[in-house]
Amino acid sequence: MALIGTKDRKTLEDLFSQRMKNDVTVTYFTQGESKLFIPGQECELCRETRQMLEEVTELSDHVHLEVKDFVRDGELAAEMGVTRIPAIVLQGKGKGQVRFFGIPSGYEFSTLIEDLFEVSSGQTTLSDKTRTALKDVNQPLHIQVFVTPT
Amino acid sequence: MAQRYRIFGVPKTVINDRIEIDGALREPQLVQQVLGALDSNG
Repeated sequence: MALIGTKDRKTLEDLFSQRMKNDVTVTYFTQGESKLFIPGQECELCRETRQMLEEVTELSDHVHLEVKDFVRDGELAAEMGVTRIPAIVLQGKGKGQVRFFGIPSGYEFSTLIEDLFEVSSGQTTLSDKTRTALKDVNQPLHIQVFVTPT
Repeated sequence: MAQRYRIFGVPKTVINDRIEIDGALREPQLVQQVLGALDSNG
């Protein structure tokens, strides 16, 4: 059963055609999907997150999904700063990356969509004042925002 | 993660593992906190 309904899909397709300017790579780290259940190694929401990302990817030719195994692709995970799953990494025109850990469900689904648009454009909606205040920052900056899907 | 960063409510923002802010932030407040989290050289 699709996670995104038909009506929502049409709305999203229209939005994507208006706002997706450049390609975005969505690297999704998950665990290998196996019929064998190994206690302590289950990732409860990995399968559903993958389905969600596959449906989102179908909405635009500018979105490219790469599915990686957290264990087998451990080196790549470490390079991208992925330490837990499910993990979604968005990379596009600009420098830097957006990482989302957990399933972007509920209100966070719109966060994922907006992130795709911004990563695609290589720009943000930050004010000129903010850009000026931040332009001379020359240190690594790690911002974590904790949310809950509702 | 929730224990490490003492998450009792959301949203919560953590910057460079140094500054923790509970609740939603307006853009100017976030900028102020970001600048506060940086070392004095940068």
